[in-house]
Amino acid sequence: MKVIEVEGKTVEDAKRRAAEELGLNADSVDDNLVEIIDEGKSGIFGFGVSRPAKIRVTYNADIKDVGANVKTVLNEILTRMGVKYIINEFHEGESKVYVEFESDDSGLIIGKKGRNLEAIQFIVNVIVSQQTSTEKKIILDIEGYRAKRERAIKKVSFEAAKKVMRTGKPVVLEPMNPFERRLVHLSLQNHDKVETKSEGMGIYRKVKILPKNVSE
Amino acid sequence: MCKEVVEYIVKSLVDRPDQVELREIEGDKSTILELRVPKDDMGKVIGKHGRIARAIRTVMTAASVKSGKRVVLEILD
Repeated sequence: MKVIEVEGKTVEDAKRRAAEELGLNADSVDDNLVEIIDEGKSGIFGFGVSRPAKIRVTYNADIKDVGANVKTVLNEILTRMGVKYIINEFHEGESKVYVEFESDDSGLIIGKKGRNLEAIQFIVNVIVSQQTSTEKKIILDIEGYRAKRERAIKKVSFEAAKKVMRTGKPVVLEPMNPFERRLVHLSLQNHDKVETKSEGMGIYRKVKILPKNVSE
Repeated sequence: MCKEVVEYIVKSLVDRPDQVELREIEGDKSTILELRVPKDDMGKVIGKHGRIARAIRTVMTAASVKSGKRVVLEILD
């Protein structure tokens, strides 16, 4: 966040100068917080006391540019991949930017177990955070894939838990990313018969579901 | 197509995009992309535990599906 004070002949003039200083369009200054400290006084026919207009602009670099930047970076990547798409939903919150889009190539964009979507999302996050120094997390979703995947993971977790209860032996799930592992832990955290643990390193980290040791 | 994807991503990540070199070596079945970046920018392309490099390769491979040719990215120093 940046706060600058700018003087100009009129308020409009000061706004223009502020925009210049911040490297923005004059129009986008209105979207940020402009506080008029002094309306200024031009004096009559150049006589009298003239006073410059003074404004204070509170500029939050994250307010506008992050959303636009996300769209640009995503577009540059997808277009170069030869993918056509339409953005259906776009939210920008305090800590997150959510983009949902659809495409005829959705299968290609998602990839095996969402691998491609994860990679695109990761790269968009790195580029946007570098270019706008935002800490917002960008979430890409395509045709409701994330919700579907979430449901699928919960189902797998419960089924594995049943198997553990039936056989009394631990079950190791396939490797998952941190978000997905967290989902497994969460969906089984209140289970009274099984417990969950992550094991392995890096991208091969997996969740292990094992019977709860009642004696403990 | 793959080259353009890699080029855009790499140039957006590094501090000195003008010094990014990306050479395409066409083979019969596969294409090799040779990437050179200034030493100081190497970390930006590779990332912690090679996370960025892996993501670039994944996106590149996805892009290659449309062209039907295998693409390999080599990051040289």
